[in-house]
Amino acid sequence: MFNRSFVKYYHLMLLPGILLLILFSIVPMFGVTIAFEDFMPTKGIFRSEWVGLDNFNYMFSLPDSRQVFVNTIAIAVMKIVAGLAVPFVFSLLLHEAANAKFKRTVQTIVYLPHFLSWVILSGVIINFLSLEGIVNRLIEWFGGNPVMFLQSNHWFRVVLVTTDVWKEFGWGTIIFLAALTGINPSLYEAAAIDGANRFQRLRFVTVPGMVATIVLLATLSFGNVLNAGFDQIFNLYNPIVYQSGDIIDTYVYRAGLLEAQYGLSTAVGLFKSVISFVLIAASYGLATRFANYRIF
Amino acid sequence: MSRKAAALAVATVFSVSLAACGNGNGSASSGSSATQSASPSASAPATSAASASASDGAAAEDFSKKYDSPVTLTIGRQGVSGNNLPAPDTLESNDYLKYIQNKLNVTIKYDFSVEDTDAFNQKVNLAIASGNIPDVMIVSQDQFTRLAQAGLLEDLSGLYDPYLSPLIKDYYSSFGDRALKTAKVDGKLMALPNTNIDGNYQLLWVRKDWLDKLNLQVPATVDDLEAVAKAFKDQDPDGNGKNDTFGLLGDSHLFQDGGFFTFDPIFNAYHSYPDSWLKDASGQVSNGSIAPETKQALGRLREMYASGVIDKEFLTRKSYDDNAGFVSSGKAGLVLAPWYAGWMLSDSVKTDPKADWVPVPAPLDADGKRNVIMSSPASNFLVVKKGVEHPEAVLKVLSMEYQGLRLLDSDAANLYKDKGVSWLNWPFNLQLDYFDSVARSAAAYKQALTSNDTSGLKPWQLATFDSVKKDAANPKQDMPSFANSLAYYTGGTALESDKFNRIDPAYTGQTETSLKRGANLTKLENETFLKIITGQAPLDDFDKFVSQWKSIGGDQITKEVNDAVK
Repeated sequence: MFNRSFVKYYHLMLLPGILLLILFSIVPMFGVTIAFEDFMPTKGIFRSEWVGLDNFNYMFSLPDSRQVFVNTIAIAVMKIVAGLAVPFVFSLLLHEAANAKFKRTVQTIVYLPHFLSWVILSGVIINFLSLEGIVNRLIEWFGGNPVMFLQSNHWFRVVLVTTDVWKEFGWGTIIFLAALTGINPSLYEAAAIDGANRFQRLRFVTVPGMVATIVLLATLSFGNVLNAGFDQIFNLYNPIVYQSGDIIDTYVYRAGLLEAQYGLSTAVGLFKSVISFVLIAASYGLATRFANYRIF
Repeated sequence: MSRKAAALAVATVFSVSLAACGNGNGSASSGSSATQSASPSASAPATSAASASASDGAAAEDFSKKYDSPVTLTIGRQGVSGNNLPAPDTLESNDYLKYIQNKLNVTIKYDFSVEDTDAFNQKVNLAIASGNIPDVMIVSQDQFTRLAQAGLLEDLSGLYDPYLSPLIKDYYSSFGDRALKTAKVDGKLMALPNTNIDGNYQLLWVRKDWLDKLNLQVPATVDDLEAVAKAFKDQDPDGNGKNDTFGLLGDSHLFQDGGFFTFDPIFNAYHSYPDSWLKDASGQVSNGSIAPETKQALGRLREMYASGVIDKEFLTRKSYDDNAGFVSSGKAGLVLAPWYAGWMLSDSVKTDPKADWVPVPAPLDADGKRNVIMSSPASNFLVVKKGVEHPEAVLKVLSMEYQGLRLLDSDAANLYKDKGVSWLNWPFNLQLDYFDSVARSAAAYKQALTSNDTSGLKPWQLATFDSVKKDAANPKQDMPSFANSLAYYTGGTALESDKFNRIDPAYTGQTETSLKRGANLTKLENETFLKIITGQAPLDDFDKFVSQWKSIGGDQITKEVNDAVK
């Protein structure tokens, strides 16, 4: 099927991507040695003092580090669950809509926020949630007391998850809709002939047909448990909600870039990468087992 | 003579071994002790010369005397980003350098100039590590310390008096000994420091037109401030029938040297100086963040926040931009900011021509004083390489540069006239001025304005005085003039007040532990204080904060600071 000259061109086409990968992903890996050094930029990686596991010891002794890990996992898990449930339900609803034009319009509209950056959206959200913002106006109109969402450790995570889901569920919907069209229409016809009503068809044909996709997406998102969304949180948080909203990435950013604690922040980042690697390996294993998903 | 040579040789050997070792901690300390032990014999006569009065006008040798044979100085300094010199001139070849050459027969040759701060620091650090430095450099505090420890610097003690112009000596003596002290190592002047002028602390800027409208007095105490803020918030001072004005604006930093909208003055009114190192009654240096006075100040801010006098949402404001927007749109009438906030505040006149900002030294403490912490007097250092043939040429160039820069020499007046060329293109980017430069100039403007006589003004004050005069004749008509006048004149005049009680912190640097752990302490402090103020944590959490602060590094830093001060 493949003759040799053909393969050569494939490899050539692969070359730019491989080069980028080596340059930006493999080479910087040597920088992880900073995690074991008392790193001074003026001395460089090779001449900074080697301190072994000191940075890791300090990381675990910090009162913040526990909080930061807990926040990261809590926020990420909430986002993963909501990020699967909402698009799933929404795609089912949309799938049932009869009018194709309506379907496409809705799909486009909910898909739009995906293309906006968090820098822009954060401005919008801060405005919406301010004391004079539309949300608090509504609360007052219904007779409630205004809430300072972005300054409250009680509400901050809710805001994070809600706005993240709002931004991304249109994107997720597309995947589920694709899976829905993959279900053999003859199954619906057969069910209809057997006398199943709309709800029963949903319950006994659509949902079982979607299980594979859901399991696949859920297991793959395992690898993202430590990625709670730097852009979003960085643009929305303030010191008072560090308690509920400070995640590993924002912490590494502040410690490493703002406060020049290079060794410490690299140690935290490396720690995160190691855990992420284990989780990704595990999720791949699970995906292979339950959803028959293979890359290699 | 032979002893001197021997001492020099010892110092040189140590500096060479230090440069070779690079990062060993042990060698650094042995190097500094060697220079210490070697120094007294080497420079005994020089030290006594330096102790002579700095303002002594009669210089032994004129700073402006031209050399008979050409002298060359190599220099390494930070470049000028976005330089606006007219082509084909460059930083390395321009009229300022030619002026120096014509006047002194001294040629400045650039070894390196790097625009980016980080890259520049790296370059200097590399030069220090290799021991191969240019004749002259302008470096940071810690680079200066390392250079001096490595014994790479020429002692300037004996050259200060004969070769520095009276103007620059005046600048330094306006700081008392605070400025020069920063450049002294074991009593010897090893560099010329820049001078950070007075006035980084916050004034209370009030809209006088709003005060008049609501029949209020200019606030003096914290109580007054709170009352005025309450009135500004609730009584519709802008008269648009809507409840859309703010009491006091705030910033999530809470306190900061030179900060806009920060609450430093309220802390200071309670004799609380967070983040500053001060000597207490027993002579021990301690950090103001954990002082009981800070708890008092926090308690007061907490009450003010609860009653809505402080902007409820100051935490989520994108600090400067949002707040500046409220000021310029005429929604705020109380701002805590330094004198140079005049430029920002002038914007509000565009939306409301009646806006009349008045800066006052407030709020005052129980003794009627506005306590302020002085900024560190110097941050950059002009250093001369040890063994340069004409070290005095450096001082002469600096003196001539300031004769030209301050327009005292008429030959320099036409250099790039009206081109708006940055002064950084002069060879030495070392900023020097009087301690009270702003207040001093403001007083001169006032004098010239009332007497209608500009003869008392110095040449460098004339440009600003034009703005002041223009605005005095036609208030708020020409925006640039109004802005200049509001900052330099109105703001500057407020700095003259005798209500200021200027406090010199005992220590301003960073210790080993504060470099490593300081960031986490700051985070703990900021988070705790904000929670207390916004009512999310009880005031007594302050006591918990104090013990936590001490245990995660604060005690260690305090110990190091006390050792450093001794």
